[in-house]
Amino acid sequence: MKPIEMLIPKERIGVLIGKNGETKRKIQKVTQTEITIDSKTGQVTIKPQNQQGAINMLTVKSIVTAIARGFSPEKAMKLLNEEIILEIIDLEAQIGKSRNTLTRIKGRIIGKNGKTRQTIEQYTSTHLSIYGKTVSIIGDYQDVLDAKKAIQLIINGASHGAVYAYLEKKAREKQSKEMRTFKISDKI
Amino acid sequence: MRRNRKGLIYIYSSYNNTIITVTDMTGAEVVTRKSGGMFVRRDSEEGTPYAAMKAAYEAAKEAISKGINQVVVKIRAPGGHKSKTPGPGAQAAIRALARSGLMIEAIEDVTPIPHDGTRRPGGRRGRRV
Repeated sequence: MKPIEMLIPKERIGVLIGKNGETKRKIQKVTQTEITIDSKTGQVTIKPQNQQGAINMLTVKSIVTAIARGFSPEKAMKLLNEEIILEIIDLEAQIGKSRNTLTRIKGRIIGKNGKTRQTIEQYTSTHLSIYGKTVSIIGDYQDVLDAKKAIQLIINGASHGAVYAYLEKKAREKQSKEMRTFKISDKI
Repeated sequence: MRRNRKGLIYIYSSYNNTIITVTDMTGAEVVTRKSGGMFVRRDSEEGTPYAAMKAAYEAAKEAISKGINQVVVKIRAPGGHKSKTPGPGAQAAIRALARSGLMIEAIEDVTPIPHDGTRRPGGRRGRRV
């Protein structure tokens, strides 16, 4: 596979490398790829070490993107699990280029003392990162869709109460679904 | 039937579905075609990693039964002014193919990248609902 090249923000380079290169080394070892970082420009190049590495290329790319979008390495490493996906919402595409609107919407998503973000994370069991012009979500496929919908409601101007109610409904649905599948598997 | 043929596998992965097409080396003859939607009941589950895994597994099985054992995987996202990163099904599909016994020779990204093509919908003030 051809090497993947991507640009990451300069202030995230240090996080990707880690203390004494720990984080970078760990990612390379687990996925059997080679990561080269140009610390002047923020250019990241991902190369496979072997056959297994080529299969993991997309995972490495999403891990690096997650770190670049403000996640801690620990949270980003959860993407090694096949079922966990990363979703990035571009705020600029939805609300335009106005700085003030961007700050206001970001504030609404985070909430007072991070209350709204915390609520979304707890109800959908995902991780959120609000960084620059993007909102990123890490979690299970269905959970990410629920969290994305909740964030979409906030962006479109729904009241926080309405969003909490939506999240509560989704959490209840999920719980009853899990109980049903549990019963079926119990019979077998 | 000729055995030990080489083939191409095209994986188109968007948020709504994953489509896997197996062709011979010329790309003109389709050996088998499977999509995520063929293995799940709900429309909203078509793009899930699980559906993609299932589709890839079935496609690989059929390809092997038709004599293909070595493949080049070409993966693509919607591209153009739409999303340029493959959807959640892509990674799962590749893993399933690797596990199915097919020899993967190379993996390539063939997402169409615009050389300044059409304008993205939404307009200057963004998408308003």
